[in-house]
Amino acid sequence: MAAGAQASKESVRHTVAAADRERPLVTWLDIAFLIYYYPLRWVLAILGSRVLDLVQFCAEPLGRVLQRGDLRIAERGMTKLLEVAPEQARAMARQCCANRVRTSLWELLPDEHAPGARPVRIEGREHLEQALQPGRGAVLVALHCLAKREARAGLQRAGIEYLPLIHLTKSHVNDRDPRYAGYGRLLWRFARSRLHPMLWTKMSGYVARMDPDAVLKIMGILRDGGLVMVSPDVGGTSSVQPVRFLNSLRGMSTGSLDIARLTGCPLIPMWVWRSGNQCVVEFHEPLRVCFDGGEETRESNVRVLIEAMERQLRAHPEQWELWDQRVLGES
Amino acid sequence: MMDGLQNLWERLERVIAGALGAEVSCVELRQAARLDDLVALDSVALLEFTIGVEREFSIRIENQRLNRDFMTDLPALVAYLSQLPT
Repeated sequence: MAAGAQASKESVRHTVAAADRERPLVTWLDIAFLIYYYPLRWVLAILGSRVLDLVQFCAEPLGRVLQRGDLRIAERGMTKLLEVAPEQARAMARQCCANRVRTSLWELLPDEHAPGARPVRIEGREHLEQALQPGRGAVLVALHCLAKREARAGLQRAGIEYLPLIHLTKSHVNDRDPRYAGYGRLLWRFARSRLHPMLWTKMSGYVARMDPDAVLKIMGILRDGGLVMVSPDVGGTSSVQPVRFLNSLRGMSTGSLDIARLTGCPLIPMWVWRSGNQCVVEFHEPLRVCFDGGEETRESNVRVLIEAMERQLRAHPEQWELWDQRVLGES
Repeated sequence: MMDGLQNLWERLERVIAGALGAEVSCVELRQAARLDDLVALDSVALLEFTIGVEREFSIRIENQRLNRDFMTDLPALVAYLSQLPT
């Protein structure tokens, strides 16, 4: 076992070293990151989150330039999967880009300034309160929305705490992560260790999907009357099945249905979006799923889950975080 | 005492058959160190097994014991179940 672990460490070290050699020492992305991380972060810290709107206004054009590749992919994905006119897709993709800029800026704010942020607007809270019973929590079903961390911080301030189930690899910043493809050795060696702690301190407390105990931790939280948030719109778990989602066939995690079936907890859709610069969180009635039948019932439950997510995505396509995934735009 | 233990293994065998749909004999269970040596145990199967154990023995396993290591360590699990008041 120990020899196996050592071999695995060696293999990781070897892979990282090989990737290191292929990278230039510094790229413009490294420099942008350093500007982004140090001066801008501290300017924001001094001025507080109230200036976020102004900073966003200034940073948006730059964001569009930096994200032009992703913007095109998002536009193609929207045209194809939502079946909208190219002009409409372009407008939505630009909105999506603006959202990403805001998300990036929000994540740059040091934690102590977050309480000064605009409060999150909560709609449908009664659905959540009705669903929660003593000894039984609820599973929140959410899409990967750009404002998810902002929403979580806002909900925490409003007294609604939940643990998100997130996709986090052991060394989260890895070679396969396309976000780091353009960075040079400067970032790879020096700044990457700072980037993720910065992002994830905004999300202290989570259950990682690859944690072998994840499902049992979720069980413990739910039976203590807690809330767990899952985002089934990506794969990455053992319970992925191919489904038709937005006019395409893709792998989607159906583990939330299994958790609901086994724990008896309701699945409550939680949709997050930004209306202007206001973050809105909307809770809906529990999904009408039934666990009495066999395979047929399972398929119909998957359909219910997919339809709920599709409805939300069609209503707020510019809020989805995953448009820039090549698999969506180019498959 | 031995009868009691035998009974526990048989009940675990029932849980595995019911929750995981796997045919594993009592003898195989006793010989195995870990449950995942005998059956493929993905996260959903682990949850099914844990809930199956709780239902079969009418217990609530404490949160600190809710981890894969403990739930698949058959001798430790049986030792834990044998200490529960009947």
